[in-house]
Amino acid sequence: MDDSLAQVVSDFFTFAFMQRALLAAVLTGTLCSVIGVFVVVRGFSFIGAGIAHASFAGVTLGFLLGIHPLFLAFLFSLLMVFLVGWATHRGELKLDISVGIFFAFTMALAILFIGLMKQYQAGVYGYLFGDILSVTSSDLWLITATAVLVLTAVGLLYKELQFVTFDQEMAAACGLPVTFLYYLLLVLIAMTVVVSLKSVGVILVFALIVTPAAAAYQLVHRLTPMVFVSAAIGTGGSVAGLILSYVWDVPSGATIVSLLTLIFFVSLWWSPKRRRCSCKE
Amino acid sequence: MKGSRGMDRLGGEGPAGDRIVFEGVTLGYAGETVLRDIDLEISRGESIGIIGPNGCGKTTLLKSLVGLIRPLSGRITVFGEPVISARRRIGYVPQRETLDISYPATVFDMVIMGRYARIGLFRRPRDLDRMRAGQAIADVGLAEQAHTPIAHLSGGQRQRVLIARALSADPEVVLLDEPTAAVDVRAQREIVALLENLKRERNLTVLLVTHDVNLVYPIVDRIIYMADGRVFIGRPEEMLTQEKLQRIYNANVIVTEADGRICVIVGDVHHG
Repeated sequence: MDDSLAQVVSDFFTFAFMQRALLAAVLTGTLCSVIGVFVVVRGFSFIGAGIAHASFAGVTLGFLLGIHPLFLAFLFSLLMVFLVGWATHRGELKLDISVGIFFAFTMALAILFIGLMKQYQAGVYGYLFGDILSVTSSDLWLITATAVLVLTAVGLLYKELQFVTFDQEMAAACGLPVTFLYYLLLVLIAMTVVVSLKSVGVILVFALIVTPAAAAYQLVHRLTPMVFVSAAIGTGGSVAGLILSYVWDVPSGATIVSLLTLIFFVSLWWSPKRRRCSCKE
Repeated sequence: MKGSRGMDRLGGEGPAGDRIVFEGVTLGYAGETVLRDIDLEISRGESIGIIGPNGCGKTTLLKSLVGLIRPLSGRITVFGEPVISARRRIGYVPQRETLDISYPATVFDMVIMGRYARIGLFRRPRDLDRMRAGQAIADVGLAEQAHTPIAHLSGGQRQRVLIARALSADPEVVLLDEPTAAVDVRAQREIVALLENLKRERNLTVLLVTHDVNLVYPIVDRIIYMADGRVFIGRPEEMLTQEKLQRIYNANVIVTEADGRICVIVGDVHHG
């Protein structure tokens, strides 16, 4: 194991693809876990999962038409966001029902697009399961730019996002632009999902968003510490997962998510909230 | 009788800048009318109790004053301003069940949110905002719990936090939606005493939705009664008469007095 670790450290200094993978793990880990805090406290887990699956329809259409998959993934994610928002507001459908409808529809589209491809496209499956070791320089630039954009928006509108995720009706009664903030949060989630596809894939990306925040929620009682604890868990878990996957020669995305899930269960067991509940009983 | 027309319009004196005015207002959701032809004038500093059966539109009326529901017709002004621009002069205390106690926030975190619209987009809370939030927490008697997570509070304390959040923005009007519901008798008395103090010290205009006429009777100047989409307003002693209550509720009502307080008992409903 010691030899393996020394080899990994040596590889990180030797190979550019390892350095890119490490940087991608830090950036996607931080980005997903910070935006995940708002997803968890607002109860947006299902819509987030729906966005991730909608993005896959965009990826497959991108491969079919020869357009950059992430461009269409983002377009499909936005379409999901606005269709769900529109159906919920206009059609008086419950959020989970409208997400359920579009979730299944976009997956059907993805399967349809794969069926229309004349030849086998291995790249499609790269986006489905993710491969952080194959992240290119241009992917990394995209992840960096998106991370800066999303984290800046969160920083600038932190108190508004806090209010709107806590009590949307009261935020509206106080005069905050809640509809704008609602859609902005969904768009930020969509951007986060899309740039993380290459690293962890459609199936696992949402675990990277929800699990660190859910673990942090067990440990703290305030939103701001929750953001920092979630970022620490998301970033640390992603880097550790990447290293372990390299050492054990197993898929990186699955290793990262498995490690984060383990951290979640440890947080649940260690949670002061859980201990308080037990004391009450 | 049509709306409140022809009823007591106490507080209608003085300039529009000192009154909350409903002019021919009809309220509802998606084309369904809940309250129709409301004509009301409420003076600055008045306390109004709003009572009526479940689903009669009490919450709808309050929400219309903070722009959460727009009138289907008519016009609402608050101290001479339309509702949308007057929102910062109004503190809204929603029903306690709307409070998400699983949210990671302390009492202070929640109360200072009441000032966020005043602070403005992209800006951080300043010392003044923190001071006002702290003052509001102290005013409702929760200074020692300021850094307690909201999940750890009792029902009565949660109600006080909601009131503190409304007060933190230095409102001129406070709207309270059933602040004494689902708390024990002692907490009910404490909340009513708190409202009495706040009204006196801050010269607030108070609109208070309640099911307990007896509890709020001593602190209200007038009572709005709602039934069948109509709004009636008058002094408590005028409104809480057997004749008017029976007409509004279409039921047998007994109004009696015990220990110097009015007691309203609603009996069998009339059919046909």
